[in-house]
Amino acid sequence: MNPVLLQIGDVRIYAHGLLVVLGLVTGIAVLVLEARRRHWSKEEVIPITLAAFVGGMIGARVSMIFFHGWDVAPLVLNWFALFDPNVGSGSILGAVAGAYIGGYLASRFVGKPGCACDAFAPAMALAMAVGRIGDYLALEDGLGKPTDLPWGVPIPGVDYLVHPAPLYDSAFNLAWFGVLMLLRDKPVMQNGNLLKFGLAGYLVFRFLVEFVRNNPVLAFGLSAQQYFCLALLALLALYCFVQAGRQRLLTAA
Amino acid sequence: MSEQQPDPRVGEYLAQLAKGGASRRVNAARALGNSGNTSEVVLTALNTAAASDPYVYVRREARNALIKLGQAPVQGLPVGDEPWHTPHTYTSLKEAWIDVALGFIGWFVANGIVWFAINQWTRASGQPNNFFAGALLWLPCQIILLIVLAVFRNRIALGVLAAVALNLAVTLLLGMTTQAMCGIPFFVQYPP
Repeated sequence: MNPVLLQIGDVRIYAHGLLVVLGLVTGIAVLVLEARRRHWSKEEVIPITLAAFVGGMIGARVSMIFFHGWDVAPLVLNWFALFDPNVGSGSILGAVAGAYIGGYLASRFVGKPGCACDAFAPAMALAMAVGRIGDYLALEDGLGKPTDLPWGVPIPGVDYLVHPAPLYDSAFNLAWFGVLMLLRDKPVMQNGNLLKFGLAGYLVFRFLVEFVRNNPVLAFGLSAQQYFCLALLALLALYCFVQAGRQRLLTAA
Repeated sequence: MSEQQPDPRVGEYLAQLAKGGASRRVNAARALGNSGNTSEVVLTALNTAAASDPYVYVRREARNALIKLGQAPVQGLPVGDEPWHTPHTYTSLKEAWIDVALGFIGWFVANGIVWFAINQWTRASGQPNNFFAGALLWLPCQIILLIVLAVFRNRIALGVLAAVALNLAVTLLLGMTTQAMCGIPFFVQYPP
């Protein structure tokens, strides 16, 4: 683990920042390849991708209010802080939600039918698989709770092993990327269903892995991040329920 | 209706229009409209799509394709299919790029002026919270303006998005060389 990955002269390259950028570049590369494979026009892909990126960055920062309380509001609601590299990227959960909202709005505005988002599902999974390695190298949040498991890792300043929670995240996302790539052409995984499935899978995993992370408990033994996961899962379930109802009506008509 | 020798790709478009996902059906309708093929099988498929496809965007694209082929759609527009707004139609690439540039440069100019004004107001009043209040006022205005532009002049909105995205990308790149962590302010030493 090394927060400073390398040094070029007087300039230090930090692991967290570098791996976040690499993760984004990886995600965009997968997205471009997938968009070309699906024959999407660039007039649709460019605005949707830009909107998803902007929405993701804003969502990542704004969600910090939910996770860390109103005290951070002067920082995250400060438009300058959005572009302050010292503040950092923010919460991945907020980024995913913000990217989804931004991409969805853009797809409506450009008149893209159905959902333009299925290509984002494997892209996001692989991007997170890469980016989370940076969190591990930078010892984000002290990595995880103490453990006696054989794969526990030591961290500076304490004499016990801890869960390498970012690596769990990275491993899951890598495997999930493979699953989504296998499913991407199935008829049932079109029109946004692949993204919803991908998102739901990550939310379930994130809910579980929060039990070995160091985020503070909000209520009833669950952290704010876990409540966020539950809320998003509930929204996805509601959406699927409404869509199923509409499909039944269409079929009956 | 002329009987033309069908382009081999027309068969592919017709198959996509009949059985593809919504995106593929729209692209197929658009491609058929651009093909110039006015054979009976193409026009029948487009008329069927325009009248009864479950997705409004497919119906609209099929209608546009028929009009492009010089054929009036057989049935009238289904209720609720008319778009509620008429977005600006760009007649040339130059016009579209001018709007993108307008949005891109305009975002920097507008934000420069507004944030300068907010800073001056904060200094003059001696109330640091005024900066926060200014942000709370200006941010929703930007979002609303972006949505309005996206609906009526989408290339300007694209320019604005590109400006914001460029700023954020630069932030991320600079973050590689700073002690950036998720939400930790610059004045907090990390690790402690």
